[in-house]
Parts: sequence; C-alpha cells; structure tokens
Amino acid sequence: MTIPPWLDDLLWTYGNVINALGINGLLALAMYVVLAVGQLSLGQAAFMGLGAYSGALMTLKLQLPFYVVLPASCVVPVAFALAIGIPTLRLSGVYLAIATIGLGEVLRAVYVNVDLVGGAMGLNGIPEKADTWMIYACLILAIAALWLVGRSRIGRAMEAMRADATAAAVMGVDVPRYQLAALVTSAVLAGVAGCLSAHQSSFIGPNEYGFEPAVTILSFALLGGIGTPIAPVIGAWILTLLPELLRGFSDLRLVFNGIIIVVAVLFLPRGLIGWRMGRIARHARMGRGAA
Amino acid sequence: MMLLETKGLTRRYQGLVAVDGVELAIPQGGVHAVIGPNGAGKTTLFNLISGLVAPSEGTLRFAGTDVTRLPTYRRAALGLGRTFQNIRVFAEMSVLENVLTGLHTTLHAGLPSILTRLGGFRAEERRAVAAAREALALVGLADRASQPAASLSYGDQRRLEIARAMAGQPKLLLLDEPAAGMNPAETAALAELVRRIAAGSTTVLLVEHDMGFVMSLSDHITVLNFGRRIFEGPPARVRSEPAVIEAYLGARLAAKLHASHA
Amino acid sequence: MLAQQLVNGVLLGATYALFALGFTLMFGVLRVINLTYGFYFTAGAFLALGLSRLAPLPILVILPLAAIGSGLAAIVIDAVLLTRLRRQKAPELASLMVTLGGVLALYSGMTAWLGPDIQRLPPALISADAYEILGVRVTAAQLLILAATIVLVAALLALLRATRLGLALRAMAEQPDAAGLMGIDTGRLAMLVSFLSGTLAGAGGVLIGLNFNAIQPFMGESMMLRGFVVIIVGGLGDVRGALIAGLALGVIEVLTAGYLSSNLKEAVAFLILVAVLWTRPQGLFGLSTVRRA
Repeated sequence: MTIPPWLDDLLWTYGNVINALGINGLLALAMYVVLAVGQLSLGQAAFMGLGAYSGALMTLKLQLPFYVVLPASCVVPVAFALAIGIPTLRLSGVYLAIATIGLGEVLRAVYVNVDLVGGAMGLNGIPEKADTWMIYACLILAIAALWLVGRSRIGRAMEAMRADATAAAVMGVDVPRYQLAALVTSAVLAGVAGCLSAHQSSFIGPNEYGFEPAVTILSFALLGGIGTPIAPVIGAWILTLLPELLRGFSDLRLVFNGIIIVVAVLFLPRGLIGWRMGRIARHARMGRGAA
Repeated sequence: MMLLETKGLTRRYQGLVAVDGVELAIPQGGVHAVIGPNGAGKTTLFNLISGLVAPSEGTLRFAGTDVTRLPTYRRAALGLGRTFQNIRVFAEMSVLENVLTGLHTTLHAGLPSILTRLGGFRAEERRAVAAAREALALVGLADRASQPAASLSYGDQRRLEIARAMAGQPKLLLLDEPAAGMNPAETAALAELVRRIAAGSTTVLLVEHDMGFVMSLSDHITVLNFGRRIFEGPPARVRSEPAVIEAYLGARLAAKLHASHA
Repeated sequence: MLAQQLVNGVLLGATYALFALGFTLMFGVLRVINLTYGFYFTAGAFLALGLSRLAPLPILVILPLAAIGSGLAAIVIDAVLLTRLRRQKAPELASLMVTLGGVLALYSGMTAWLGPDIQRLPPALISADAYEILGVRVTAAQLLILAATIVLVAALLALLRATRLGLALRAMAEQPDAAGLMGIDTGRLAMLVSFLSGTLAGAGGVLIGLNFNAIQPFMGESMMLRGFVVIIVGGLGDVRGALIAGLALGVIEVLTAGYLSSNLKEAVAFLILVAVLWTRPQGLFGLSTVRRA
C-alpha cells in the first residue's frame, strides 16, 4: 500500500493529534452507549486504564501478537464493569455513577503499589503497534455498529428506557439487562481505546486514568450530544482540537471542560448536534403499506 | 379458567394498607372496571398487577402462570399491556416508533442479524412496521405516524398510548383512567374504541372516575374502598347496592346517577 | 499498638462521619447527589489557611469562620448550578452531571490560581503537644477533632429532632412534596440545607487539614470517595448509618495502613463499597431516610 506524499506529510506532522482524535472518539462512544440507556457511568477512564495496562502487559510480558492483544484487552475492563454493574443497575441511576466515579482513583493507588505494572514509574517501551489506520478502523466499526443497533428493536428499547424506564418495562423491555449490556459495551470500547493508546505512545503511567479524564470524557458526549453516534465523536474532536489551538490557556483546559458540562446540561441538553436519529431500519421505513 | 386471578393481594406502605386482601377474578373477554373513591387503592392495584409494585402478601395468576414474583417485562411478554393515568408516551420518538416499542416482545432479531441486516431482520422489521400501522389505524392515528409524539394533542397522546399497548396484541389491557381530561366527544370516541378492542381477542380492565363511561361500557364491576373489595357484579346491580352507595357514591352522586339513568 | 491505632482510627472516622453527614443530609432532603460537596471541604481548609495568614487568630475563631464561609459558598454554588434544574424537575442524573462539571471547574480553577502544591497551616495555629491517656498518645489536633465533631453532630441532631425546621426537613426527606404542603419555599430550603451541609464539610476540611497538616485543592476529591463509601454503606440519606459507617471506615483505614500498606486504603474502602452493593444495597442499617435521625 502506498500513501500519497501529502497524506504522509500530514500524518508525520500531526500524527499524535490525529491518533488522539481517533482514540478520544472511541472514548466518547464509550460514554454515549451508557448515556443512551439513561445511565451515567464515570468509569470509562478507569476501563481505559485497565485496557491499557492489561494490553501492554500482554505485549511486554507474554509477547502475544497485537491481533490477540487488542481484543483480549477488553477482558479485564469487562470484568470490572460486571462486578460494579450487576449490583448497581438493580438500583436507581445514582448508584452506578457513585460506584464508578471513584474507580479510577482507586486503581491509580493500586497501580502505584504493584511492581508488575511498573509502580509509580508506569510501563515503558511498549512497542508502537497501533497505527493510525487501525485506530480509525476501530472507530468507524464502532460508529457503524452503534448506528445499525440504533435502528432496530434494541435501539428503540434503548431510547424508550432513557425516556421512561417504567414505561419501557411495561413494553416488555428487560431494562437492567440492557443497561448492563450497555455498560459492558462501554467497557469494551474504552478498553480497546486504552490498548490502542498504550501501543501508540509507548509509555503509560498510573496518573492518566483518574478523575479528570473521566469527567473530560463526559464533556465530549455532552458537548456533541447523544442523538446519533456521530455527535459525541464530534464533541470529542472539538474538545481535543481546541487545546491545540489555544495552547496559551492550557492551565484552564479542565476549567473549560467543567464549564462545558455545566452549560451543556443547563442550556444545551441535546448538545451541539441535536439531530436525533430515526429508530426504524431504512428499508422498513420506506416500504409503506407492506402489509 | 380465569385470565387474571388475585388471592389475598395486599400492599402496605409503612402502616398504611393501600390494597387489602383483594380477590379479583377476571374471566377472558369483555370489559371489566375497578371503581372506588380517591385513595381506594385502584392505581396501586394496577401497579401490583403490572409488577411495578411488589405485593406484601397474596398471589397473582395471569394466563395460567403464577406471576407474583415475575418482573414487569416478563408479564408484558405473557400478554399484559397497560396505559398510565399520567400519559407516558416517549415524547421525542415518532408516533410510529412509540408503537414499534410496544412490539418489543414480539421481535426476536439477535445482534448478529441486526449488525448484518441478514437472517430475517428485514422481513421482521417490515412486519413490525405493518403491525404498528395497523394498531395506529385502530385508534385513528394512521396519518400521524411520522410526527413526534410530543406534538400530538392530549387526547391523541392517550390514544397513542393505547395503540402502543395494543400493538403486541395483549391478552389483557389495563387502562388507568383513560377518559381523564377528555371532553365529552373524545370520551364517546374512546368508549367506542374500548368496545372495538374488547370485541377482539383482548380483555379490558379499566380504572375510571367517569361513572357514565364505566356504567355504559363495563360488563362487570369491582368496587374498592379503603383497599378492600366491597362489591363485585354487573353494573345494573352496582346502582342498587346499598354498601356501594353508602361507601362510595354518596347522596349527591347517587341522585345524579339516577337522573342520568332516568 | 492496637489500642493506639483504634484511637487514631476512631478520630479519623469522626471526621469522615462529619463529612458524610452533610453529604447524606443534602441527598436526603434535596434528592441530589451534589458532587460539589467535596469542594466545600477544600474551601474550608483554604479559608482557614487564608485567615491564619491574614491575622494570628486562635483556631477556635478560625474553625467556625472557615466553616461558615464554606457554607456560604455552598449556597451560592447550589443556586448557580441547581436552581434551574430544580424548577424543571430535571432527572437526578442531570443534577449529578451539572455538579460534576461544576466541581471539576472549581478544583481546576483553584489549582490554576493557587498551584497544585501541598500547603501547610502555620504551626502556631494549634499546639503540637500530645497527651498520654491510658498509654495512648493523643494530639491536640485530635482532641479538637473529637470535640468539634461531637458539638456539630449534636447540634445537627438537635436541629433535626427538636425544632420545627428539623421536622420540615425530615418531612421533606420522607415525601418531597411535603415541604410545599407545609408552606415551605423549596428555594429557601435548598439554601438552608446547602448552608448546613457546606458548613459541616468546611469544618471537616479544617480539621483534616490540621490533622495531616497538608492542604491542597484536590483534597476534597479523595475525601468524596470516602463520602460515597460512607453514605452507601450507611444507606443513602440515613443519618445514623452515616455516623456509624464513618467511624468504621476510619478504623478500617488506619488498620489497613498499619498492617498492609497506606496506599491500599482507597482500594480497601472501595472493596467495601462494592461488597455492600452486592449484599445489602439499601445500606447496612436498613431504612434509608433522614427520618431516622
């Protein structure tokens, strides 16, 4: 495969930013799937860290090939999602948020203490096996899958339970099961994003997956909106590019992310891209009077 | 065999007994009504039947299955549909999408077939849309299919809720104060709709305050007072039952009823 | 050795209980998980730092001033973030998200302004003396913690149990519409509860700042993790549960630090949280309302 020279230049100059756009897009989708069923998880940064650490260890210590490592890197995040999701999703929505919000900070303390994962120094020299096309292939696959699911009985059930969980249950929707499935999907997406980022920056440390990235991921989805799977990705892109353009204000980046969340919830509940996707498969919508 | 049968159904809230040992036996077919003064426990009874509230005591059988411990969604799959006193349509979804949600239990496409659009997915979606349009036609909303549910008038939202509950062709349809907030013309149209539903394979159980509506429509009436059943029988006998008149109707309403009956 | 650790644990737990009490009060009455709550803890500590640099005031003046200042900050922040959502009767997760964004902005703004480094209260603020009581060493700061916690908790319980206002708060916790029925303006109630809770958190911040002699903008955030553990283990909105769970958590943390590793404190607290969610999600003490004050 030959790459045209202009693209090669672009990738070389802005490679890190382009990769970050793809990875943050995946993280925004990890937030989207949970918000789309009317829940709030703040564990995505923690799931990302678990994917990054478990993926890096599989590469460094077990020397497994990357096509095994990448899918396997969601195993640990999913296990954590199940351990927290099963008990909390039987309860009201605040429990999942409360139980996940501390997860990142707790894991940070654990990483620092465990020599196997490099302690406070983190893990170095992770081979750079994730390239740009791989990141974007994952992103496009995730968007397409979420779009197809959105236009199906599952997508309708998801929107129904977000609007009114009781009414959805009366329609026959097993609300806790769908919510758990959404959380597991979120853990998969975040875990893969973590594994990809670990294998393109060559270094991971214990401080990258705590409270601040967790809230930043939420700001991606709230800025973009959750009417379609594209919207949160665009939110992530805006919030990833903005600090690149406004380097002088890097101290205030997190202040800005926090204010974005406040403003979005209070004044822009649909996000910047408020358009809501239909919930009926295209062919069925077109085929009027098929009965 | 009874379609719905409760035995000693009881629900307590911190010292207050909302539903007190209610025995209900609803046979298949027809329109059944539960009436009673405010606070008699009617809505709690509906919530017990649909599984939104767990009973403190007693059992509940529906369509030959003991559903006392079954979660709401499983009861829906057995053929139990309902509407709500305060309208609960999915406001942002279109009218058609609302009704399609009501078909959830009849659709079975798995994730692989949804992701590939293969394995019968297309045919199933087409069937679902057709069934949803049929349900909309039943309530007279066929031409509103693509509008957002929130844009419908109050009365139309009530009809949409009925279409959504009817889409899956439930064995039993619970209507919680369907005529609330409707004008006389809308109420008359609603009565006609309920008759049409009951003429099909769906049994109707309703809670309603509008006595004219209940009396003209129901085959069978249960009266609750303070969570207890105080009467059960045909509408003709409710009017003459002293316990009901005393406990529920009161002198003024009773007179009004006689006047409307004369 | 064990006796010493138990005493340290109980005294640490007393501040956790104090902190969690305000948090559970806020949730019980206003039905909002208000994540800015941790910031009032930070605010209390920094107000004490600022005041002590401004004038050589005794701690018994600084502590109430800093606590009240945090309470006032809580009123303002609650009004800015939550008035609109309360009026719209927005879902609880919307309120949670707004306070989450708010608290990130507050912490980060404070870090940008004052720097991320650990700051220390002037040594003159409290005597460094320690007393031997039955072979257990207790510092002056610890005695202050104990006294302040007892006073504040007793005052809060008296307020909830013995006043008309307390009755209204408990009625509100029981039945959100009750306040309206009793003729209480929900806006004023929100101000009052924010003030009470913010004051408790602020006092906690001063006391912890004294005890560990370390003040830093994000200190409220790690405290929030303990707040979550305490209110879930104690039962959301359960005042008595929060007190017991707070004390227990303090003891467990000190024992973990003593016998395992001080870095595993958070992990142990979190394991307890998850274990309780699996086994007794309504909290260890059953009913979950402020009614059980």
